[in-house]
Amino acid sequence: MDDVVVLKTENLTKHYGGVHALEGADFEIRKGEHVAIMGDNGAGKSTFVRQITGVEQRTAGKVWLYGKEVNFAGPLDAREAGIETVFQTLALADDLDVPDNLFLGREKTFWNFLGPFRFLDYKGMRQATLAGLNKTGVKIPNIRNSIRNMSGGQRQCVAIARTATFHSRLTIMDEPTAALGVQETAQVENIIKTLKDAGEPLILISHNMRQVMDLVDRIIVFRRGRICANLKKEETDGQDVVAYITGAKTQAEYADAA
Amino acid sequence: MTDTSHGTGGLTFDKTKRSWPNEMNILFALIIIVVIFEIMGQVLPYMNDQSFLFDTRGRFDSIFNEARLKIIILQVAIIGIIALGVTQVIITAGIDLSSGPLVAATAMIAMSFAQTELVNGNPNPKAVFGVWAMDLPVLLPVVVGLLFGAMIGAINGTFVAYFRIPPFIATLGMFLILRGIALWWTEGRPVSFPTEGYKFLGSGMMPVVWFLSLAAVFHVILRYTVYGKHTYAIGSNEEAARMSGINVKRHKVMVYMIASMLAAFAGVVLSAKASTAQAGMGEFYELFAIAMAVIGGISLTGGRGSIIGTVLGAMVLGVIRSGFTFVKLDGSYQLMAMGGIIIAAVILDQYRQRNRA
Amino acid sequence: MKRIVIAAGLATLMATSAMSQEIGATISRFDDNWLTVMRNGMTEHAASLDGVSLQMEDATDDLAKQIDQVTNFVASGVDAIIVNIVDTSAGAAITAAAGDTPLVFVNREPDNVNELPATQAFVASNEIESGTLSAFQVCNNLRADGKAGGARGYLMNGQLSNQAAVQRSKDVHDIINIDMCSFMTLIDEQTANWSRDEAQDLMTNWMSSGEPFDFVLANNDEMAIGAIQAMKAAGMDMADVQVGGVDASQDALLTMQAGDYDVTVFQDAFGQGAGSVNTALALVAGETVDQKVYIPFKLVTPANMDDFLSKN
Repeated sequence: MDDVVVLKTENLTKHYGGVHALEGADFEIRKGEHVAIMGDNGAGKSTFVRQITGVEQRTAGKVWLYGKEVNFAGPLDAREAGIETVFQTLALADDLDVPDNLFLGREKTFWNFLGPFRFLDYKGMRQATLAGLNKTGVKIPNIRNSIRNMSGGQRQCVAIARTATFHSRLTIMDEPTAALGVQETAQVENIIKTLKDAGEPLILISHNMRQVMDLVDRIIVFRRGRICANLKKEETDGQDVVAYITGAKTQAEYADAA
Repeated sequence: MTDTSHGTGGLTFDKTKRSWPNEMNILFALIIIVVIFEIMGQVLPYMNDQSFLFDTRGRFDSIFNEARLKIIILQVAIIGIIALGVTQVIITAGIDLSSGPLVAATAMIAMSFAQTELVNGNPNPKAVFGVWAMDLPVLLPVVVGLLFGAMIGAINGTFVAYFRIPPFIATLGMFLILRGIALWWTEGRPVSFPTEGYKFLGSGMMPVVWFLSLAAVFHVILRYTVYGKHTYAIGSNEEAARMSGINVKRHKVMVYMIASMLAAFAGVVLSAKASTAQAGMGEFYELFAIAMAVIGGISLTGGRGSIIGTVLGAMVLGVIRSGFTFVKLDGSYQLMAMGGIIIAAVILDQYRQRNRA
Repeated sequence: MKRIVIAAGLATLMATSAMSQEIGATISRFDDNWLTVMRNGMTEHAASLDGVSLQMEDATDDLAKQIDQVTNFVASGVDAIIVNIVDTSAGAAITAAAGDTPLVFVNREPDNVNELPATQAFVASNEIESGTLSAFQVCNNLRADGKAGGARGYLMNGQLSNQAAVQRSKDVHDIINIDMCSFMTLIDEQTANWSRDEAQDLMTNWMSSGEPFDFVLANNDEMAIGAIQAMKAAGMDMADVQVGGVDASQDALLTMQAGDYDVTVFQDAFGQGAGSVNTALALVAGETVDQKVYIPFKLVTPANMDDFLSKN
């Protein structure tokens, strides 16, 4: 594990009018780390993710990416800075094929002077797709078929492969296997392991305790908008984490979250 | 080689295999319909063994009845131009019901700038403007027409994309507004007697030339350019498109503008062909255009469809129309049959979709 | 002083009652060449009269809408109503909707024309004449061309829901049945919905079967012109074909001038329009009027076409 800090937040706060959805979050993730964010519904997990990916604008606090302070005006900025997000509801277009989906919004093109009518570099995109799929170990029988007929697991793998294709600097996954069956969940977890082997940092939001304990190095627990625990996997277990989630326990450093 | 895939259950890559294209089915349907009419020509007693498609009287050099082939495509070429545009709109999961009256309104407006001063030596009795608008270079009325179309399309697109009005409602409202404009322009009086240059735009097989060239252009655009890809993406999953950074609103406005400009151009060609512009032109055109796209395999929920399919759909309608005249079928039956065929096409398509999955 | 005031009051009263006759008119459709001329006839004539105001409505071929328009006119208290009826079999409904308000049917003959109440009248031309004049002249022309041995041709119908179309086509059939013209046979009969471009496509379709023909009859000029355009585009010599229609519109007369069009029939659109306004005003004033006023059709051929150039 590296010592390079990939992402750091200080006092990250988000209020929706009178609702304090996120309060004073201090967070850090280093290169090569896989960190899980857990917590009950409404605890602030998704809100936290929305702030750091630029989907919403934070009320207060600072964010640093690889040591540089950042202010994302929108999700595109975050993407361009190298933060790739895989959502629970797949951001994939059913009628398009794998390369189309991978490159949606950032297609390889030529004759760019034609503006919106510039031509698509299909060959280039196919090659890059195959490379990206290879890197994440995803096997797709025919990348030129529309993804409509692919299983949920395969589609999620395609979404994850997007991160590899675009050399992301930080991957965030929000409940990636929540909608999948057992076999497909295994498929996706295999890909995540591939990412770990490659040293890619990952923030994983998950309700699945078994998954979290299998995959990550650290666990951050949110409760009622605040971080209430920062646990190393080796130092805890399922029951312990649940105690933090429900509020039966609070780590000393986060006493004010109780 | 060590398998580092963490056990995803490897299957082989097959880079080149593609599934059976939808368009082949429409081509088959087209051939079957032609065969049916051919049989009817032989079998029906009052038909006296006429052939639908073949040249049995030795009038032409080829074995085909060239005149029939020409009229089959000529009579649907103008609506076909509209269909090219509405195909793109439907692919974005939208719809455009305003093309019929847009044809009429554009025809009236464009023709007003295309009139000739003297007819048979007498001053033009249908002159809309004064002499300054007479005998203008043909590019001018065409540009006026296209600009009008672009404006209407921009309004449609803005209502749909920015004001989030359902396309059905927005374009239906525009349908009525355009009917009014067409009637208001010259208080219902038709505009006639254009210049020779203008007439040329719609003369002979020109409508077919326009239709097929525009079809070729938009086929390339839809399949090989970023604009095309984004059009399909928006129709397939608008949220995904938005999250991928596509400016969905701006794109939709562009799509509606292109569709309306095509319909406007159709109006120009129609008035050139008929040498007149009347407020009632283009009746049912928007429906026939949509029908062409539907027969061509488009999905009304968006994300699927092709220009080739639409062109084939146009040919199917052309064959049917010509066939009905060939067997002397009554006008009312023709409309009923058209409707029935469109419904059958959609049912067939849904059946095929279910079998594929 | 009092007398002057009373006199002034009476004068004002008389003036107001003599002022603004309000007429409400509903036309079956606005976007029709011929009907537009009739409409303009009504508008211009009403404008030329003192104190007559005319309100014009488009029934857009919708009978229910038209009945509503008549009811609305009655409710707003117009002095008279003029109706260009959408569906000639609905005369009774319109008559009932008008109640006691004077009403004039114009151009299209309602089926209750013989049972109209004293407050209602009918101004038009007789559609039996139009198709007959046109077809008969074509018959004569064909004879003169030496085709009395046998002539084949086509008939283009207007909108099939329209009584004028139905009647004019019936006229053609009647003519073909008489001894003098029985040498004529119809190859086919189809509708082109009054439209020039539909007629173009229909004619091209017919010609693609390669059947030789000698005449084309159409229920109106627009379709005849469309047929002519198609025939010319196919390289036919218009001297070989007799083409006949109805309306004598500007476009038609100019086509006749160019030598391509043979026969048409003038229906005095302007005259019918103005006539309907006059009849309406007469009904309001309580004068006795002819309840059926037929303005005659006039045959138009190259021989007399110059007389009609400025009419429609």
